[in-house]
Amino acid sequence: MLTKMRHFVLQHNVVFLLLLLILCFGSTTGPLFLNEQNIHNIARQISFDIPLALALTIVLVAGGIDLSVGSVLSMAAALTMGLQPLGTWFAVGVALLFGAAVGLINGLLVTKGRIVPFIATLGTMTVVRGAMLTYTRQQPIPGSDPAFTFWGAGSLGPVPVPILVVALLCVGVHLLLTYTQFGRNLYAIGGNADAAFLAGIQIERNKVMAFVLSGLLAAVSGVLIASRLNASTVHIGLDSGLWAIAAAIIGGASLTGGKGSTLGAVLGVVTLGVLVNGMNLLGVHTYYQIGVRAVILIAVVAVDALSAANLRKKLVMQSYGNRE
Amino acid sequence: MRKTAQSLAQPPGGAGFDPHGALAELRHFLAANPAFIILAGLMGLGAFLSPVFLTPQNLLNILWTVSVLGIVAMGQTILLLTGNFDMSVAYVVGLAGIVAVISQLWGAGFGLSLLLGLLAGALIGLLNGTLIVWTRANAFLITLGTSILVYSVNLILTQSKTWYASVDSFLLLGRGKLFDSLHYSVILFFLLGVVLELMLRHTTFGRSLFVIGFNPRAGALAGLRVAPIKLATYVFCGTTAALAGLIMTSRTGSTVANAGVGMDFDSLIAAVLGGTSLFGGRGGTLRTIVGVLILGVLNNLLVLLNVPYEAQQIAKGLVFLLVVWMDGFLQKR
Amino acid sequence: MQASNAGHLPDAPLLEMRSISKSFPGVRALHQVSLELRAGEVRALVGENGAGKSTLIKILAGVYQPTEGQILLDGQPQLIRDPAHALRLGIVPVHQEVNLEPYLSIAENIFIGRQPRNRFGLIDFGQMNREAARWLADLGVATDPALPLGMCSIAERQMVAIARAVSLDARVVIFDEPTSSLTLRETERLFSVIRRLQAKKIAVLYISHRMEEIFQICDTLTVLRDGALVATQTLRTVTTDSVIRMMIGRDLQDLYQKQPTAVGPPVLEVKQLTVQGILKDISLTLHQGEILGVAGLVGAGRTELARAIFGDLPYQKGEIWVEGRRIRPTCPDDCIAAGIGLVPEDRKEQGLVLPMPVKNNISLAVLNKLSWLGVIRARRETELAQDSVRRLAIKTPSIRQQVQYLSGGNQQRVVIARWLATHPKVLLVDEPTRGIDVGAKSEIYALLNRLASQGVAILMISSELPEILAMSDRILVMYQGRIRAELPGPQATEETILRFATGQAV
Repeated sequence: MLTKMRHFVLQHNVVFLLLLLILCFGSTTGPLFLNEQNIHNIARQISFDIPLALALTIVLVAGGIDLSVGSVLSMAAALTMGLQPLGTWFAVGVALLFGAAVGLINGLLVTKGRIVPFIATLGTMTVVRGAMLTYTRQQPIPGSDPAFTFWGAGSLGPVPVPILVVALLCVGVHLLLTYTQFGRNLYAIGGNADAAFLAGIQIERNKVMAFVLSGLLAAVSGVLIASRLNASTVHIGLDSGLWAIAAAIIGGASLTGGKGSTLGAVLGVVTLGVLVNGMNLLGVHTYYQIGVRAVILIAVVAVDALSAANLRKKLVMQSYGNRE
Repeated sequence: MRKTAQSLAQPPGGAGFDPHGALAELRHFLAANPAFIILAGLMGLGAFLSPVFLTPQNLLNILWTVSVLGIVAMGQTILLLTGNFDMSVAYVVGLAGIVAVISQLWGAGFGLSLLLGLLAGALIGLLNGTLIVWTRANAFLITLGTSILVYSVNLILTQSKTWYASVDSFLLLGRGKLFDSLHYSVILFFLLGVVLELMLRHTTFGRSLFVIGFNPRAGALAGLRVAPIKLATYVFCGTTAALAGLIMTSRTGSTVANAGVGMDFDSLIAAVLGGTSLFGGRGGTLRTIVGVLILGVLNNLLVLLNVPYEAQQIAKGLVFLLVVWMDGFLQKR
Repeated sequence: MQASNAGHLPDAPLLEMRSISKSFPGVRALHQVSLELRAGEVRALVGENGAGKSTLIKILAGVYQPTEGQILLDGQPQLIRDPAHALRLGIVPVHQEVNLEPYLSIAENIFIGRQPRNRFGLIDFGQMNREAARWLADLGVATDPALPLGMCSIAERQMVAIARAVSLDARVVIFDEPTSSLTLRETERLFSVIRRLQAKKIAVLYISHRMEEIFQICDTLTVLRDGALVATQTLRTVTTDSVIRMMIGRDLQDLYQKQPTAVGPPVLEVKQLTVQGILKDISLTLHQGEILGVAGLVGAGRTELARAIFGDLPYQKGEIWVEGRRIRPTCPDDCIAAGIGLVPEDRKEQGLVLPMPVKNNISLAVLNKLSWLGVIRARRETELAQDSVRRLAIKTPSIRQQVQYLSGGNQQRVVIARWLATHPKVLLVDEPTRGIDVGAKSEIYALLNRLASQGVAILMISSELPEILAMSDRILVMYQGRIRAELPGPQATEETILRFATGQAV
């Protein structure tokens, strides 16, 4: 049990970062930070970020990346609100289908089109964003079904409903990644695609599925946000994609592929959520907050690259050293 | 790319005796550089769709419009040749203008404000280059990160307000014309393209860029010092972006925090449209001139045809995907 | 051709390859090769590097599709679409470059793509680990299967790959150089496993360079040379010498033509060079006009030794002296200035800029000398390239031809030409004839001999023992990052080298 604990902490050193942050803010802002209302706020906020971080974790595990999630989120929100007069659940269904479809296109561009994931999803990001601007004519769309706000803004007892929805998602994604053949295949593909291919794993099909899931999860996030705001605006999702990448990497995923976990993604989102909340409580100006976010993104990507290089070195040395 | 070119350029009758040597040469060249055909096609389409398109006024206007993007794309092309990107150029364009304008308010003259603006761009380039050379991290994400960082600096410096240039000679940079017809910025754009192309083809530095783009490992083992060269390309890219920003600010006489927004993506599209590969090693600045012109003509046409801005975004994304797909396709030969 | 020797083998072949050809753009890798495997047969497949063995294996494994020819399994023609299909058909390769997942556990690597599942359809990690431990114990490996594979040594990884192959429901198992990183004891274990496979009527295709192993474990033999079938025989009817003759198509002496040269004063001296975890206290002296061979197993640190001397791998301790002057290289450029050149192990990845013309590849290391104020003098560059092409007899239609369209031997000559342009005192050559066909090999050997006689000091790393034995004035044998032995060239034998290289002798 103890060794398992140690293994866990080593794998998720983000836990320490998180504790440190909470201690830091707890001691400086005191009761402002550690009260029920504020924790409630953080919980609700991160529940919208978690699906995106899960999406990115899945794609990163498979050795890809998805920059289009932010655009998909905003378009899904727009569809959820815009089509609501035709039926609330119909609208939600279309939004989710749209997300999955963009994921499918991403997957096909990457596998059949042989375009590197960065570039392919940068392209779809632009197209989807353009589609969203065209669809909404750059105007906010208000919701018409008040009952629908239950999913994003309601509470069951003390617990916000979106938290429950997201918790269910997390359990599902965790089972998928850890206990199914599909999930293990993704780790294998991301870890060493050649080896996976030679071991008889269908690379392309699995990769496409990973992108479809990513698009779907991004759409879920969009639906939840639309429900929370009971409206869609052109501003949502602008930088959520990059933020989700940062969260997933903080949570142990790597741009080199083959690594990452559901729990890690959640912890990553919580860490960043606490940080943003703390900055708000401390009254840090938005302009500086943007700068801090940028520095975090850079640091996360840089540390990921440095530790990947270190790991490579360690692997090489082990393969030379430990025979005696 | 080479193989496609050859097979397309091969006259059907066999190559034993070819009376149309020059023609075949031309065909060969066009097959290797399809950008020229696209440009010619778009020009033809423009002439057909709109009577004002082919007027000298409109054509000069296109040149004037694209020259800022063109100068950004020059730096981007140099980076792409080594297999790298810079997504921070968009906000560096804004930053340079802001630094110049604010320094003028503090009493800097034409020269000093220009220098400070360029220096700001070079510094961001140095930051990008250092981070990427040191960590070997994904250039794309790192420069997206610095892009946001520069944006926040822009916001902090401008406080989201519009700032106006206060030195008259500064305004000449973007508004001045040679012989009252051709803007200096257009001349600068073409001049940069030609000079850089000569540098690429005939100097050791240019040669080393191609080597690094194709195979940095082989380059290093043959004695190239890869890190300083990469650093230099990033500094250069930052500086050209700053130069473009200064010209843009000088044109309007004012600047805002997000002045160059979209130019990151556009400069990539322009370079790749012209025939520079995203994977490094193939391309050149002359080709980028063609790519920039294509983009300019396309934009001009969309505006002349009253296509709404939102739909233009979709078109741009689709063109980008098409071009990178072609690039990958040609890479595989 | 009939299996007359092995009475216990059935007559109908289990697997049959009929007139298989495979062409890549510009290269014919296999030409009309036929091969039969019977149940319970262990067939050796031998041939020099580049003879077409790996292409043949990749065709069986479903990685490549043959351009021509047929593969029959149980007499039924099969089109092997991809590796997954090959595995379903029971054709299981153990690839030479150990292809495994570093982040996944050992157990998952063994059961990748077919993890045992519980009644909810979810993966049962407990059962998987238990089964993995059983298969590993069979091979004499006691490592905990729940550990990530990244923590294993190369030998352990090789054993994991073998455990995976054995645990699959295989009918044909292909071993591609399985012992290249194994000790003798591990090799013995592998052989006992192969005998068990044989008893279970599984057909085995065994690829190896090591003649004793082949004579020890195999029943029959197929020899490839330059992509074509040379011989199919039973092992009883052949000797080591005759096999080698079949592989290279002529006598060994004709291939190498080593002439004794006068060895001059020391040029390169390395003292106690140490790279943490990779090289330990390496000391060596290399003389003018000498060819010093470096032998050792994969992972013994041979390539890293060359990289460290060439300034490509930072070292923590030690000294490097060139002609009595100490150099402290931080990058290859420093070493090039001191008169060292490196012909790297992987020509295509590390040596050449493939899409660039011959001319640019030759001039790469001397660009600064060819230019004035940074501007390349085109005429001098062209002269250098033309001169090199003539002197090294590089076969190319023009110096503007892209290097990627040249044959392996000519590509290697381009790399050597690049270093000759720098007038090196020391040339480090790493696997100089890998992937080069036999005819071109002897020309590379002649070239190296000529350079040595002109006074260049050559450090030659090679996995091919005949090459090392025939070419070297002295031989260093490395094992686990150390130099285990220094043998005078004429007295060394394959056996003594292997004893030191596997750590059996000290």
